[in-house]
Amino acid sequence: MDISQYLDSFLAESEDNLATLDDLCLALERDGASDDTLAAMFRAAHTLKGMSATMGFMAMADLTHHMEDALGHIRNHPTEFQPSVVDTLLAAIDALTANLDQIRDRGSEEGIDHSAILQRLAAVVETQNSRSVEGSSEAGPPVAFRDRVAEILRSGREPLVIQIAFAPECTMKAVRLLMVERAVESFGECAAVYPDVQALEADADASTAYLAMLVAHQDADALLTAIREISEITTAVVVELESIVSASGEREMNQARQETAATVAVATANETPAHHAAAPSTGGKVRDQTLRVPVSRIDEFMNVLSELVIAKTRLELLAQRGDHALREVTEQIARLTSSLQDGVMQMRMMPVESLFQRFPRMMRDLQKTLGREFEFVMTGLETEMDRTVMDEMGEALVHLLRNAADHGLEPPEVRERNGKPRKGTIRLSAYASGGHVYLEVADDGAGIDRDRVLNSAIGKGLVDERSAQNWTDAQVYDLLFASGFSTAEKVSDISGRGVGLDAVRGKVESLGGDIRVESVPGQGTTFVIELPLTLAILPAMLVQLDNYIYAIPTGSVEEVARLSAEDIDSIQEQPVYRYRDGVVPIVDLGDRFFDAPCRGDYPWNAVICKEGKRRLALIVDDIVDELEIVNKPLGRYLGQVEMFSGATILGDGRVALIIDVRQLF
Amino acid sequence: MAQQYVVMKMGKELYGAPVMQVVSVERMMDITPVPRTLSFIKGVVNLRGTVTPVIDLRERVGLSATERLDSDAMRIVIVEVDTMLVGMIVDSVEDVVTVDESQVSAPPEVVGGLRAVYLHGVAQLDERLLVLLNLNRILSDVEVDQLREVEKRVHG
Repeated sequence: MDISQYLDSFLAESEDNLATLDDLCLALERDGASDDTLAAMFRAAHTLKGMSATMGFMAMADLTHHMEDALGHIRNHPTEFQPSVVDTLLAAIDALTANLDQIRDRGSEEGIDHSAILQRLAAVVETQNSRSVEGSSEAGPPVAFRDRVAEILRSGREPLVIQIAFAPECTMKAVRLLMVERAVESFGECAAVYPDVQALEADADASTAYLAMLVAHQDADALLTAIREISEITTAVVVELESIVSASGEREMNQARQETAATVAVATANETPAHHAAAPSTGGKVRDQTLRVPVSRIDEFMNVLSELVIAKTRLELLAQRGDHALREVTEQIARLTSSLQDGVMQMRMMPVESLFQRFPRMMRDLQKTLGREFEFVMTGLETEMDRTVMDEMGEALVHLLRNAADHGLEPPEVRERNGKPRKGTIRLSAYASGGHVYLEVADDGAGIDRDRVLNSAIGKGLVDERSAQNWTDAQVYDLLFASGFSTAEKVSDISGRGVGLDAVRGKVESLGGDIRVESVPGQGTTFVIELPLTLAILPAMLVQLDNYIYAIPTGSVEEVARLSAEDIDSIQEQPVYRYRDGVVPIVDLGDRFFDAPCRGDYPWNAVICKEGKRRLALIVDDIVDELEIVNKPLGRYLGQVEMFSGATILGDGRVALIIDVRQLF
Repeated sequence: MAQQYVVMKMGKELYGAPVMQVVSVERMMDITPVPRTLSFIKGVVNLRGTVTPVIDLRERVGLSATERLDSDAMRIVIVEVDTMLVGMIVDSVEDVVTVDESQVSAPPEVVGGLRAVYLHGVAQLDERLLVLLNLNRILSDVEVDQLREVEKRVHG
């Protein structure tokens, strides 16, 4: 079998599964060994193992297999669960990720050695084993199962506990158990099973199994009959409740609340036994059906579509001269085209979750390396963003988050001294509002120290001392984004490397966005990034210069003006425009582009552009239109061209360059 | 080993571009100039929805940009180099020929204004010389960056 054609989807899906495992590890550490978490981890690990084995990547399959073993032991001995085990699991995930990376880069597993991590995983299994005292199921169902029964009893219901025994010659006990689960399904909810299907697969010696059913007790006989009809099931009997609950005694009654049961309680709100049966391969929750489509294919589609839009515009022109029927068809085509366009735009949108999912792990590691203590909270994971914008934002967010952990939050002792909770909070949120997506990184740390920022800026010669005295806080905070500025008292590995916030601002602005910072002394700092919903389509003003049309993104335009002689002043022989309470430098675009000024007789057509707090008056021959344009890259060959961020194709098929206003300052 | 070349004419000279790298041959179309870039970069065109840069091959290979006689014969040869599409304006496109590697001789140090590194070699075609271009070199973006630097220094 030629498997190479499946490599891409193997890589993508394995990446997803590793990310899921990563998340679940953190959940495991946070919430303890809960059934749901472990079941989900099993599913992800199982899929990973199956896929890598099928692809012939045995090092990966082997490591995943041992990881499953470790998970199995955690599940079977939940009371022995030590959070430190999570470190080992995470290390295993890292090793798998590195393994996957090598497969992607080199196509082989050559030279991969997992022996160190395999030893650590084996150690997990052994310590758990040696601590284990109550492993055998021969003496009746284990504590966890009894706890579950006790729990049901406390909720006021009386479960029917059934013991079944497998025939000694039965080789596929897991399958039989599945059949039992199916058979009893129609009678009522199955609240607990011991051992569950996966455990049974691993344990060939098990001879009995227990089920706790929530059924009317008069159905008991019919239920038992149904079970006994399954071949290789020798007996099925009802077990007295007292024998289970009293045997487990007082201790479990008390502990039941705190401990998490290890036996998988199959029937939770949304998981029925039938789902459980399918779980190992498909995941327990019902998901939307999705298709994996390479991004390049969507981009190609988008290209074709924008040509369609152009053709449609031409058709509209022709139809004006044509008869009624032609106009009608043209209108219909126009409607269909625009809904197609909406559809493709929608396809390019992805929930920010795919960007955010790697952060919890990063923040966890940061706590350890930095000696900070904090909760990391993420909200708005479902907020959708253009994929290209999102890809570009990853590094900037990493920087802001590290910054918040390193500089934003005070060390735990300092927090306690200041009467704040020892544990800080770092919040990453996303939300959409009015055509923009907002990303916020907030900490509840000390806030920005105005004086320290000022002193540092003065020391670095970024501002002069006298002029800075009357600055507003916002102006001072703005200094943080100045190039080469870092107030960290000690430069650490994590942040404060001087490439800091100015790089973040540069990235955000290159995407047509904006970043600002809000801070309250003693209460914390919030960085707010505002981004356009999409980069592919943007509103723009079309201006004419000579015979060519240029587009200026509306986001950079403040207003349009016609300048007459009395509006113009001159400073050092450079023309300036008196605008509001200040003056704005005048840039003649014809002059700037072709050394052919377009300033002739007054009035001059001017577009007042803004970039942050700075303004420019661009003089052009004519202002043509304002409309939505499709942003197309200029490509690598022209990549370094200054003053233009891309190009678009106009209704008549000509190309118009998109002016990058920032480059004109 | 034999290779096929698209034969392009500029002035009296013939230049060859490997057929494998030629995507299409287009009639002249509206070119939108890109201000403040290298002089041989003529601008960008709309190639079926893709914004594609266009260079004047004549200027790029160092021929004088003399008056073109028959502008109706002019073509834009679209080539793909390193996943990058670039159009080259030529006086005309003549033919596609097969050239055996044995017919190719090393280029003389300077052909026209073109340094030998930009050439794959020179082949004898009937009575005429066919200059085989090394498109990867001619259209390398690194090269363009360097040229841009030089131009900057010259013009300040």
